[in-house]
Amino acid sequence: MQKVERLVNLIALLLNTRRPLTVEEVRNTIPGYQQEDYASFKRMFERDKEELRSLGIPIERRFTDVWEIEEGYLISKDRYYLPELDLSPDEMAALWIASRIVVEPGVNDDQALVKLALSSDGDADPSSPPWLRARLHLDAPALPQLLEAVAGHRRVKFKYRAAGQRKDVDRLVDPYALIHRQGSWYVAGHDHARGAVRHFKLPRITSKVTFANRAGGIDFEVPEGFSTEERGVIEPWVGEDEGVKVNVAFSPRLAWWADQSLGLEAKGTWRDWTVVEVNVADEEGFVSWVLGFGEDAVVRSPERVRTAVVERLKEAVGGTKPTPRKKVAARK
Amino acid sequence: MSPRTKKPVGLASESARRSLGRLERILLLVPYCVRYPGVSIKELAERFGAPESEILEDLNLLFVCGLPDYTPADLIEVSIAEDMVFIRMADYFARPLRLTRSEAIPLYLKAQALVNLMDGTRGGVKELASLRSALEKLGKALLPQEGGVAELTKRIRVQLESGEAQWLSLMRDAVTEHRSVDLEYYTYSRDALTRRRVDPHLVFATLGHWYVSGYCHLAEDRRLFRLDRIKTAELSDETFVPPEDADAELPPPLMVVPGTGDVKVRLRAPEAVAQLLVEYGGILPAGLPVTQSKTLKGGRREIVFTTYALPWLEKLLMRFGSTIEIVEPVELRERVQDAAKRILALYEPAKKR
Repeated sequence: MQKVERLVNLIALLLNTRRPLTVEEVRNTIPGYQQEDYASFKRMFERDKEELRSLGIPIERRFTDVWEIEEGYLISKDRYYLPELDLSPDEMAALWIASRIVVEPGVNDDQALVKLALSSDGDADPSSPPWLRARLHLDAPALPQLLEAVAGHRRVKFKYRAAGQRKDVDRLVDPYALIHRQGSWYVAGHDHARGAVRHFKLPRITSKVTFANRAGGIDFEVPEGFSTEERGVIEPWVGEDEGVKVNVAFSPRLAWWADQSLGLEAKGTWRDWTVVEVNVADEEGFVSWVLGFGEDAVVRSPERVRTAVVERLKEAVGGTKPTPRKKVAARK
Repeated sequence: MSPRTKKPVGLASESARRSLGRLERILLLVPYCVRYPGVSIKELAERFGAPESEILEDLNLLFVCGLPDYTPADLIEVSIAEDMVFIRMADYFARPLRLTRSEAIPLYLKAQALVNLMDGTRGGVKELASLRSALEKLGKALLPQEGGVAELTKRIRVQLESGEAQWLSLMRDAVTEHRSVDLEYYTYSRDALTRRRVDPHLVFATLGHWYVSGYCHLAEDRRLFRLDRIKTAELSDETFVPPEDADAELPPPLMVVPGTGDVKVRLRAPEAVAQLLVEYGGILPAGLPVTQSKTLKGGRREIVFTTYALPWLEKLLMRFGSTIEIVEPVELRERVQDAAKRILALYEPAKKR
């Protein structure tokens, strides 16, 4: 317990001093630093400082006077105290709910929430709706740094292993947005090597994420045309280019699903099936998606997309014949 | 200014971590007691998730802390009378310490996630407006040096499939009022539409989908249902008694439960396709339950897994045309071929025209 005492006293001292205190002054003041051996005191003091900084306590080193001869330590009040956030009771309650709904193994926000409540009018009482939970996979190691980069418009560097690749490649990226979809976090941004906007899946980042420019400040502006919403869309028919209009018929068995999940209105009928129109940019992805419905979806037009589906089906009929001995080269 | 050469000191030792955790708590305990004078030890213990004995130790430690010259007039004054705690002479600790990055970032992302989850959802969480404004203020605590906090919320997005939230408000009523629901549910893995009565325990979002967990009267066991696969849902007048652990934690269902109908499947595919299959190919969002995986010549990979869901697998494999080679079972190979033929037939009439 002696150690915690010493640290509390050290914080109190450095938080209340008006001028930086030299190492000697600290040693002579704080009970617990009066070891006979100066070197062992110094080691202890250095460790204490580092540990306090690890808690986010801003211990600063400054010259003690304008002559800039001696250096000392203090804790800046501005940087120590949580600013008054004036969260209303409703806002505080909403944050408690968010914390309770989105559960992450190993993450406990209670301490942060009590801090926030104490700097606002809000209550420190947790509240939670019993019916709803969500999980977000916040444990991606690159997430905090990328969040700072997105917020601060900072260019970042990292090593990345693309799907199906065995080599890590250095990437230089202006991160525009963070997107969570299908259980993974992605960063979307301008990839300098490709000269285009690309998505990077956070679990495939194999190194630490570092800022490309040491000096703070903004490295880039997000282009006006960039939309996080569009980037977040996962339906296969939305791509980067203007799409073609494709008519798909859904069987009576699954038409309800198309209506409910895709929010597409019926454009007509084929037999007793429901025809809807979708905008397709990525035809390859679309063909695969539509085949996932088996006998419950049929492409009606245009002919080119119909043919692509038919080709894929013919491949499936012929291509999966027992040919185990033959080495099938990766056909594209 | 001399450049600071910071060597990170590993906080390896367990005792160091413990005392730092204690220090953090004390730095929060003081402003809490200043804000709520006369708070009881019991309440402090509950709020800080620590036994009462530890809270007492913390308070006892504060007795001997303060400012130089550490005479009784300089020390923090703690009094405990009839289980009421008062702290005085600690103005400098009356306001809490800033949020650390590891505190602020999860909270910020959680709040942002919930905003995205609830956006455009009818009858979701009514606190959405408060959550939005709280998020903006929280941004200031997170990034005091940044002006663009409002902009940041536009740059983070948690995506769920559109239209899935359709049954959310009905499910909320069912869970909170403990009412059973009657579902028409489409089981993708078995390609079947069934009617069943379900006692919903909890609604949750994970891996990009909404689920409801509950007791299924048809299966006579706990089951998970994806909201977007519910064709129709009706609240019944029957009520049920929810189990104690209904909302304790997320149910751990997103894993493979070996069953008796399992079939062993062996596939070969180009590396990239194999990886795609493993990552996204599961009926369960966690991906395929691969038991064996080996590299073949020519940048190909062989994977082995078991599944009960041949109808699902058949559709999945069809999507890849001839890129995936089905080594075993033979029935699966035939199934894919037959299914492809049947779908081809649906395209026939137009060709004749």
